[in-house]
Amino acid sequence: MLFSSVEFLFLFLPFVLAGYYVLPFRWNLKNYFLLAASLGFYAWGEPKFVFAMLASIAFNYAAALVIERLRERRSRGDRPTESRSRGTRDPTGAKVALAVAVAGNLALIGVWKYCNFVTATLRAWFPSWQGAIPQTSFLLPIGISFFTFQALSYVVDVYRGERAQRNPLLLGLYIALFPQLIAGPIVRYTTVRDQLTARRTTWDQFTAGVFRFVVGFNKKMLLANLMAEVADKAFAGAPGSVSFAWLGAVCYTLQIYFDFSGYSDMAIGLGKMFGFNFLENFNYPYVSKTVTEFWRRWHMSLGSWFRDYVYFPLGGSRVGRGRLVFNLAVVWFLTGLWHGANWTFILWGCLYGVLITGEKLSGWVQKVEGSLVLRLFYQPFTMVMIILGWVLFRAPSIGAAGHHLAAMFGAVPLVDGPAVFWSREMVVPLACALVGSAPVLKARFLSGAWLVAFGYGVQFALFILSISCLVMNAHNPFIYFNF
Amino acid sequence: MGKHLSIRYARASFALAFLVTVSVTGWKLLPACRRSVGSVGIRKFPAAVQKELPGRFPYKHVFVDLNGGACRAIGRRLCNERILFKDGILGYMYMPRSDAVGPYIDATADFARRVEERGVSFLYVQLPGKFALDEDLMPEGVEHYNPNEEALQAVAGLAERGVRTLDLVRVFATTRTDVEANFFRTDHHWRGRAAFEATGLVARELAEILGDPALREPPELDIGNWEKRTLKQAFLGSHGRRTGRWFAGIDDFEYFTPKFETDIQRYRAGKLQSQGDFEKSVLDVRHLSRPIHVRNAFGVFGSDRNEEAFFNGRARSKARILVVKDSFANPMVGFLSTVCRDVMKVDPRKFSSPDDAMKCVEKYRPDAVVMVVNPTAVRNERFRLSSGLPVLLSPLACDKLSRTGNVAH
Repeated sequence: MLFSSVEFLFLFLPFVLAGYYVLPFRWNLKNYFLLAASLGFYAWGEPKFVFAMLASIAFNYAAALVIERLRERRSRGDRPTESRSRGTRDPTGAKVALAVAVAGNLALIGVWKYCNFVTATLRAWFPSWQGAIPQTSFLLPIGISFFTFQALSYVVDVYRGERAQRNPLLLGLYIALFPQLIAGPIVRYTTVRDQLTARRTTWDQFTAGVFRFVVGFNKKMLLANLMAEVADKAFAGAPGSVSFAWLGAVCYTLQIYFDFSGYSDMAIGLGKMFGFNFLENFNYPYVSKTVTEFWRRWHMSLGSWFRDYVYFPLGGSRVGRGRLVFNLAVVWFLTGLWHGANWTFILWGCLYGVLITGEKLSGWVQKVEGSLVLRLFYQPFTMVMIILGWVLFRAPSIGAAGHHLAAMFGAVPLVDGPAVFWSREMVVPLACALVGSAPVLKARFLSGAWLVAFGYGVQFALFILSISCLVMNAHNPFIYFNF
Repeated sequence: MGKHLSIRYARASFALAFLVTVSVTGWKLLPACRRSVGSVGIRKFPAAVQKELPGRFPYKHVFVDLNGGACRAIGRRLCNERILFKDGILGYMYMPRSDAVGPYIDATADFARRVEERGVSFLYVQLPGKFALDEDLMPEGVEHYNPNEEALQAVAGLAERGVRTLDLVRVFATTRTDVEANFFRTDHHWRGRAAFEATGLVARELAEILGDPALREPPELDIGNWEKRTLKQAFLGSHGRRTGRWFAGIDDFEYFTPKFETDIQRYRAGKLQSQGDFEKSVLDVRHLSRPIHVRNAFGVFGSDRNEEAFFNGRARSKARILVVKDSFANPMVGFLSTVCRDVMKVDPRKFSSPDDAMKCVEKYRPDAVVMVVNPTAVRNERFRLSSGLPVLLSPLACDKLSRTGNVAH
């Protein structure tokens, strides 16, 4: 079920809100109702895969309890070892249990998401093996990357000292909560641990949640979907002109931002409506001065996940240069791979790996932040690299990406019919999208009470317009839906 | 403090408005959900609901208007897959295709040959599409393409094969002025006035083919003998219902009733449906009383139902005409019925096989078959009226042939 669908907005949401606020908090009734609603939400589009999610919940519940028990046994000194000296590894049961838990979660995502890609690649690289390697055709459960990473973060946090959740239904609620189930943000257990049992929704929080939801909805319906019209056409085949190639790339750059940040806004808004406070996932990434800064503003929950669970355990940046390069390469390879089972995503991740590694090794980030002149050159360069990266991300194959990039850099005529037509069609939407992608509306001079109240009115009017788009365009999937 | 209070009140009002909007709309959508569950069951319910709900959205037409208005306000020419041409007329965005005309010509020529082998005359009438020949109406940057060009290729190809043709493209759509005068702004069809004029031209051709002087400029096909009724701002056509009234406006609608007396019987599948004057038996003015956002005013001229027949005992011509048509020809069939005794219409879009057209010829035994189609027929598989195989008649058709070969009376 999509947030931007008639059945969610007008049937599911009012029903769940009504049921949630009618039920008392006692005996976790509100939580169990939310869990049931979340499972129903997931089962709406993927009835078979809800069992995969339930299996993941059960597995991680059991794994966390085992890890905690073994961890506490180690810390109580039940099994002292003579080798407990600095630099010597102490293979405890907790670490083994963690390894099993991590392997189990990675196996889930590995099979459903990557098996088809791996078998196809092996069969293409080694034709003689085609008889031995059948081409698999697993269907991708929606949101598997998100809820698996949430589960992984949970078991690792338990290993690191967090108390495991005793109530399996509450753990299920954490993993399956519908606002962030399908496309994030990736919520850490520590963020919502206390909120699971001790949250109270104030009216201010609820209304803030409603507003946030509507802003996200408007972003998706009015900006992302409009940008998608041009992007889809530009990426349908090799663009016929330099200007259409760039127009398509810029439109996709804006589409993916408003699509994903809009979804995150809706998720955060929905969370607030039910008393949860999730962390922010986007912070106007397109105003970034450096690529490093971009990844501190884009999909922050994923970036921090890889930082805390991959980069830091590998040593982070407190290592020699060679090891630093290795660590960054691993993180960015995995980041690309996480986004999809295709070489384009891997290449996209590696592109960022190269850029960020270069910035880190050269100290460029500090230099740019300290110099306006450097910023004037490097900020546009950063934006261009981001756009080129999105071309890789969007293209169905590396070859198609190559054609599009070649078109962007002069392999085709400068202007053609579609460029003329679409640039005229998109004048106002592009202007609005460019303004919306920068923190212009947060400027202090726009913070007067009447202006803010007027802003609420404008957002509601846009909400009605968004409903009109919804009614006319029944199909409008989210890009990150399939991750 | 005052500022924060104002903002809180504004946000609270916002939230309340949101809750009321989604709840009330959801309440109105519940009957559609109950119907979906009842018709398909729980397992297929999600898919059925997803398909059904947008169409049953309360006040959908208001939202369609709003969407179209917003598109227009920001200067867009494309709205819900419809494009605003340079002259402000709505239409489809056609794309060139090179492979459609040849097979269409082959199938139509074969159909014409089979008809004539049975001693029945054949006339192919090419109606125009909503594009002027002498001008590129597409907005700047959109590749020029004109389906009338495909239609003219079809006419030329059929003429080369010896099929008698009547090219109405160059009559009604040569210039932009022609298109504006003869077509609706918001619908893909042409106006009743153009259809009336076309009927006169077809009758003239039939007069020559059948050697029937009664069909050559009959007074029944003189516009002076008809009363025109115009309804201002009354028709939001097929394109307009997708884009709303604020995107390209609303059309006026006119229809015609004869000043002379008529008594026409309308049959469907051999059963009498109505009898009386032209307005009662041929037109269906009930369409005009429906709300504008669901009003298909063009339906006044008759439906797309297959195998309708009109019998006019008072007609000056005894000709039996079988019209193989699409919706453009609905008005023409009605007008022709004021002159010809028997006019039968069949719609290939309702056929189950390419040879159904030939079976209708066998069944109705007309004096002439007139194939009247607009340019989209060239690309429509349904209008390839011959499979090239021998026609096998159903037992029912054989039985009818052994009696009168006549289903109208």
